[in-house]
Amino acid sequence: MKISRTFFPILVAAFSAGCDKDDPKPVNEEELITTLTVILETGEPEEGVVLRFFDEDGASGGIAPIVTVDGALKAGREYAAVIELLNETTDPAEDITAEIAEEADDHLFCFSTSEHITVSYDDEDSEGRPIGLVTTWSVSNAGDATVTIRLRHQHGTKTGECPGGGDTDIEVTFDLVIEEG
Amino acid sequence: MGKPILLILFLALAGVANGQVCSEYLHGRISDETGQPLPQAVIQIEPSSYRSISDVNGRFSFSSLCPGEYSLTVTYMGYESASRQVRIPLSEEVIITLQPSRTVLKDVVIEAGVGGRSVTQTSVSLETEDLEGLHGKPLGESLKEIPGVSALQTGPSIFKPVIDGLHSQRILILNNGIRQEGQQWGLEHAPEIDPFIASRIEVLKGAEAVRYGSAAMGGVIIIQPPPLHETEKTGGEINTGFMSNNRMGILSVMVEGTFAPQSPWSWRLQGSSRKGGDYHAPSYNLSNTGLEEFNFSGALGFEDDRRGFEVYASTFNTEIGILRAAHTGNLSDLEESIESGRPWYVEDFTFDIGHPKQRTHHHLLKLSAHQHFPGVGRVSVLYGGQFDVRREYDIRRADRAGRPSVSLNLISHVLDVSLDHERPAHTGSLGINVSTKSNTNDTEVTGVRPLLPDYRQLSAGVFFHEKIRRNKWTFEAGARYDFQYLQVLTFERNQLIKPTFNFNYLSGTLGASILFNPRLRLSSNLGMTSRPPHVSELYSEGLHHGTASIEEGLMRREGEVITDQSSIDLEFSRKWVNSLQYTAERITADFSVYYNAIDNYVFIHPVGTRQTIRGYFPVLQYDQTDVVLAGSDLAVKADIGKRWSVNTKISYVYAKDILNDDVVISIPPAQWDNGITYRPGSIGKLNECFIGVSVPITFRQHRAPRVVAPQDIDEGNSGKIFDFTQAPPGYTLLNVRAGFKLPIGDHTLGVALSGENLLNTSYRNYMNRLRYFADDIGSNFILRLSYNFLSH
Repeated sequence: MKISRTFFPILVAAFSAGCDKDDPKPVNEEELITTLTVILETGEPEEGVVLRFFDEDGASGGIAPIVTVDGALKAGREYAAVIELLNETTDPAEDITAEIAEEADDHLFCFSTSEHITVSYDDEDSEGRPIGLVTTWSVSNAGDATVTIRLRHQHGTKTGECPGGGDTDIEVTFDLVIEEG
Repeated sequence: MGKPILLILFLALAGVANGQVCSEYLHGRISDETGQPLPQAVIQIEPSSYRSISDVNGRFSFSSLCPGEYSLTVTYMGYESASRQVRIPLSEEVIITLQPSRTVLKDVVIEAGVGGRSVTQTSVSLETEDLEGLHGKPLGESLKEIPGVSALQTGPSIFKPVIDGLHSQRILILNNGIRQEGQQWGLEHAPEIDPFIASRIEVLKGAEAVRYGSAAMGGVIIIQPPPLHETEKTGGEINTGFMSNNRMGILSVMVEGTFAPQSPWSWRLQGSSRKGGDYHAPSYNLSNTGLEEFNFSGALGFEDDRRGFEVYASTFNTEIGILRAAHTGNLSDLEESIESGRPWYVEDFTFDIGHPKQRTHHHLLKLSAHQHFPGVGRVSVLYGGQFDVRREYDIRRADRAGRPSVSLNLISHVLDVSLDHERPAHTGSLGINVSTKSNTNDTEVTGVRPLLPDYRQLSAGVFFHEKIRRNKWTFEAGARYDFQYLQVLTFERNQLIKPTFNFNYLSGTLGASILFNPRLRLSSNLGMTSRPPHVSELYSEGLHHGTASIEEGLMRREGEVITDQSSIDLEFSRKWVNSLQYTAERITADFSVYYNAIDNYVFIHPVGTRQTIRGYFPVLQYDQTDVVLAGSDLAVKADIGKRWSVNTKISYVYAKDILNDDVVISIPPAQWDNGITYRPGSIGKLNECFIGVSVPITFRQHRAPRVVAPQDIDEGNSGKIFDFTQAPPGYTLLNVRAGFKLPIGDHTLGVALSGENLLNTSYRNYMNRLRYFADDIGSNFILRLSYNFLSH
């Protein structure tokens, strides 16, 4: 009896699905991050800078990403920075920032900077480790600079140190020009 | 069963158990189907370790037997082995007729069988030990015992067989007569087969594509359960095992019997299960490499002189953890893993299987029937329905952790009809194979764009194959025509497209073999095979989470989808194999040399990187080129005195990309195995005692691609192929095995203890994909118990 109970449904499934002519539907890729935006503010009007990395089809597609820097950083300033993550393939766009904030204990933003820029953390998770959604960017002198932002997914291995264990969910690099203050 | 027989049996077995001397005599004759005597056939009588070899008139005899039930097994090169039950005392002569083997010209056949039935090897008991000594190991790892067969590995539990350098879509597995239609398209996809069902595993390394189709271009692996009609009683076998390295427990139970004495109906039920935790390398735990497996099968058969019928159903279910540290996010992660030299994620031992992991199910229903028509031959009809499920679970964000990133269902139907005829001077067969496949992705479940698209496939082939014998010579010829219809359902910028193809292609084989004397045979075989690329080779696209790389099929280039059939080149192989087999009482040797030229050989290799929001990823592309594979396999086994035996096996394959004057990626390195076994026979009540040492030597792959570290890859890396690291250095391991059989009443308990990698050597294998991240496993002790029983 047990055998027939196990195999009969399999047989039925095998024969009926063999005739299945349903066409597949396009996949709405979940978990996709298309856009990383860094909003930098000094508190002064007209001094705001927006860095944006837009990858229309995420990691699996072949479309090249678009990197834009709107505005210029100025030497001798301290910027309050906020990171926003979006999945813009859905309408309305899905807010991934909230997902990361909810799983703050498993995530860490790492910042690798060239000279002239230092980044410090202004937020922490439930165990006092940094997250990196909110940071302060201190800009010293004028010149060229680069900032690489990595979002590390560190389920169970987060120590607060960079890069630490885990996988990289995001890795983007911005080439910046710092103007004389 | 009557009381007198029971009494005789009891006395007989008591006699055997006490080593008492008996005086019964058994004699017989071995002939082929034309009545010609067969000299030099090996006759094994069980339960006892006696062997006899037939004389020039095909006659053999055994003396000093005790009364009781015995089974005779006859093996003879080029013929199917045969078994016969006898009850002693028996005054008349036992006449055993052997049927020619269907694959007499198969180039090198090395078999290992629980029943000890073997065509080319006479060291029957060693063969039995070989397979018993592999209980609990996956199929692909077990096959590595055969010279010329290696495995493409992903960690300690996933092994894909490689025959003479070819693997994946070019290897056909016949599981109980059915062409296995599993999900073998990825490098981390092992065949979905429980080796416990097999009493015999055979590897055909020649061009067997005529009978089996283009999937057999590289060779055929035949998994054969014992025949259903061997036993007249209810009996069975229980196997258990325990492995120290990953604390794995293994259990297998088999029960078989007939419904009544002399009934043509018989049945078998079999189940097996394995559960293990993390493996460990000599200096760290390989976290998340646990596994769980549950398999079950049942068979019911009818067999009389003229016809036979069988129903067989099996289910294979497994869940395997993938080394956590092998899951890298992007190119920077891969680079860090390679540079650090040890896995970044090492936790304490656990039985829990976390993510990433894969879960696979394979369900099979087989119906087969054959009928003998006098003067015509034997007509066989075989149907196989297979249902495959593959789910791969990745590290995912938010509440998606429980959802797979790959979820594939493959349904296939296979129908084979063949007519085999046997005349004194020639034998042959002609037949037709039809199969359908339908592959679907559950994208609503995964929420991930599928790597392998949905597809529907219909294939049909007709073949004939004829063999003529003239004295010492056998000639063979065969041809096959195949048709394949393939419809792929994929997307180009979210628009469904349905590229459709029709392939027509031919295969053929020619061969000859000469038997210089009953001990020495030389065979030569030339085979030509065409193969349309598999869907995965044509249309894979996307981020393969398991390998942290972007894969692109032949028909996808820079975001464009090619749908034109004229852009597809069929793989075309010409393989020439020559083999020399020497089989004597004390020594057996198999030597083969092959040359295989393949046009439009499909392979996957890293070509560059792609920038995405997750960082840079290596892009692996399928490509085609012309290659040559040439190699040689040697196996020698010799008995020294009555108690010692030695064996050696050497395999080497040389591969060259002749179009680009380059090496070929993922070709197994040279392998040299040596072993020595001491068999003192019986010690007190313990029978078949043995202790053996084996020393497998794996050489470095000197013809590995040049090295380009992940951080140095850029789009300009065209030209010669490359890999991310050097091929690992060669290594030598030390393995020891010992065991005995203990009679308990009329049952038998077998005990075997083995130690693998006894010196706890740290090593990495070129053919193991996890070599970028971690060492292979350290020392492993395995205790195996087997219990044979018959009930009355």
